[in-house]
Amino acid sequence: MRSLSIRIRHLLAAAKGLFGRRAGRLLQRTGRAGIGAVVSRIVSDAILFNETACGVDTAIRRVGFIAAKLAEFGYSDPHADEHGNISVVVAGREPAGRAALLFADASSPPDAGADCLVTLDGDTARGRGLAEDSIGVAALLALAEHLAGNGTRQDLDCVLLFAAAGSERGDTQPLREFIRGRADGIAWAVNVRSLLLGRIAERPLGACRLRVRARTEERDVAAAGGASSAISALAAIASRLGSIRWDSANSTFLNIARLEAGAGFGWHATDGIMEIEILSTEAATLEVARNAVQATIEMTSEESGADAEVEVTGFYPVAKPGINAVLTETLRRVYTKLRIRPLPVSIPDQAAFFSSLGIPALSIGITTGRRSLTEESVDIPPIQTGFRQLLALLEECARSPTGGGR
Amino acid sequence: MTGRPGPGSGILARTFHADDFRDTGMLVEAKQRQGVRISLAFPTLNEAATIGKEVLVLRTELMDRFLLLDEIAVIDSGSTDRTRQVATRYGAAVYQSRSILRRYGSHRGKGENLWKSLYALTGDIIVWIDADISNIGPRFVSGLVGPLLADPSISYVKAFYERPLRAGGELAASGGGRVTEILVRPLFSLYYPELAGLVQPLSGEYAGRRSLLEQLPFSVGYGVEVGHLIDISHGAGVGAIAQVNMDSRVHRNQSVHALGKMAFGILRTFSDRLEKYGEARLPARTGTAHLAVAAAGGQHRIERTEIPCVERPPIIEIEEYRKKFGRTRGSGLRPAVS
Repeated sequence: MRSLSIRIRHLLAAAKGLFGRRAGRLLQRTGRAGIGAVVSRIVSDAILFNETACGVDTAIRRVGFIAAKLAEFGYSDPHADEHGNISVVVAGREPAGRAALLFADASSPPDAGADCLVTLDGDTARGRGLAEDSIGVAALLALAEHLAGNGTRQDLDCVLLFAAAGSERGDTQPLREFIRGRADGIAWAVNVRSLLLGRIAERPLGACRLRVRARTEERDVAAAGGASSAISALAAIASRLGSIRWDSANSTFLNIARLEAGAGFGWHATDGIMEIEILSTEAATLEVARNAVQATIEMTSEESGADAEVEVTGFYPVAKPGINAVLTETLRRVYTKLRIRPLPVSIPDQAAFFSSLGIPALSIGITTGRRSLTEESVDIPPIQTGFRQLLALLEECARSPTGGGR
Repeated sequence: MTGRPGPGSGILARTFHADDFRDTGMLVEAKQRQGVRISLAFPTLNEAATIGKEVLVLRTELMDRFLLLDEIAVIDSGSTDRTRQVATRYGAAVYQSRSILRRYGSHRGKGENLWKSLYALTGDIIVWIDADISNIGPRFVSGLVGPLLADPSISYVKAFYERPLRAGGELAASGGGRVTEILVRPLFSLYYPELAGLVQPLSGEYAGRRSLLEQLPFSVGYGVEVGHLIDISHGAGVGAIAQVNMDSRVHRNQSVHALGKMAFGILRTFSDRLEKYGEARLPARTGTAHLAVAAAGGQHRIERTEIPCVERPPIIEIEEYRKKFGRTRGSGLRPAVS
């Protein structure tokens, strides 16, 4: 961690030295009239950012990319911490010590190999990582570029955070470090995501993510009797968990997110992994459900003759009730104004982390797209509306007496 | 052959890294100070899978955000996929090679597209980039243009890189450059050791000053790069050549069969240059076709592929070119030479 921190500081210093003097001056700004040009910039940055996941040293390459871009836009004082969070502050008109926080997940995924290389075909961009967060990061960069050229109409300061927290993994530690000592200074927070343009999650669900690793004894694939395979053990666990009704109010759900096991034809599957998320609107029920899931896994694997290890890989707390009411209403007005069809969703995300601290927080999506086992793609045309949504949200919040939040 | 510097001298002293030129603002300032225009062209044939990304990224970063490039063009050999539509969609000016200087006919080959691009483009500095790069970035242009803007004695810059190959969803850690190592480098070692310091003499990404490029003949096929290097070493001298490390370039792998045909074309251009400069005497008759042995059903047969060795004259010799660019030098019109 210390060496990452040192390398990040060197990167920031290098980027400032390299671009700070002249890049901001020579950069061609996009005014409001040129909002269409922003789409190309978002797609281009998303491609270049996404492809940093192809190869080694992804964390450093991602920080380097963002630092260089911010310096290119003319930001002379980006702040980086030892976790790899990078942030800049755009001063408001009448800053009173509180700030609006817009953040995107710029964390490092596992090496995606050639899958992270992007292809463009007509109105679609394809590449592993684009739909997860790269478009969100690029949209936040475009906002940084826009604000550097046009300033903000907000009274509040605007903090733009490129977070090292992994939304996929449910890792909130880097956010925790970022917010340490400054939670009172954040008026509201918005997580800028790639997908689900029009999303409305009034009360983001809390989530607990578990990873189950099942191992069984080796044996000939055609041998009669003997222990179950890792696949049958995991399938039995999934089946039993799926039949549980967690509460009468249907406020708690279980999602089998991923299941991988087996070595292929002719081989007895001795090893497998299953990833599970438990979702709930009730903090107490979430805790009870987690204990019940762990107990069910242990009991079922024992019956199957498999060894199972359970690891908690991520946790999003349950948001405080009503905390997001004003911000949600503001977002609804933006959707109406831009004719974006609201898309009610119940999914956990990093915004819940801030909501649980009493900070109004929502996630917004920039475009539409798809994610599957083998492919991720995003649609390019809606990005223009997605970016307008970001600007309009800032404007609407600026009009609100509470700045859009508490 | 005497009096040439040994391998490792010269070009290695003019070897840069793309990071040396990543300050785009500095390049734009140098460009404005020197009052030059810079053009980028992609020679294409069925590159719909990658051309859109290449055009979008380079146009956005180097024409839209920074005014480093004055134009981006695609010179197409008659693609049957959607190359031209995709390139247009993302903002390139698209030319069909056969429509440029129509009076001089048309040949199929990358060198033909490069030669014709000299007429179509308007820049004082021309950048050519292959259209099959999967990991395109602004460094491919800024790295090539940087030495030309920084040092007036440099007129021709070649890229080199690690070449991880796409194989399924995986990236092989190394590979590529087989024709260079097995054919070109041994030939350079024998005849032009001063060029052996080029890491990837066949790389498809290079840039040059129009004032030099218009003086060079162009092989229309695979031999265009080797022909350029030998002609420059005889004319402007190797001191005009620099090379730039681009780190890595991800691209498609080519079959050994395809590389064999490429090697044949390169060898023909190389032989022609040896003859032209009196450095070797070759038999009066040489083959014009690449002969491969194909095996099927326990039988072997010869597979013959004609690889024409057509060479375009220096474009300064073309009347229309001299008229368009206000040039006076040239020895008159000479249509395609076969």
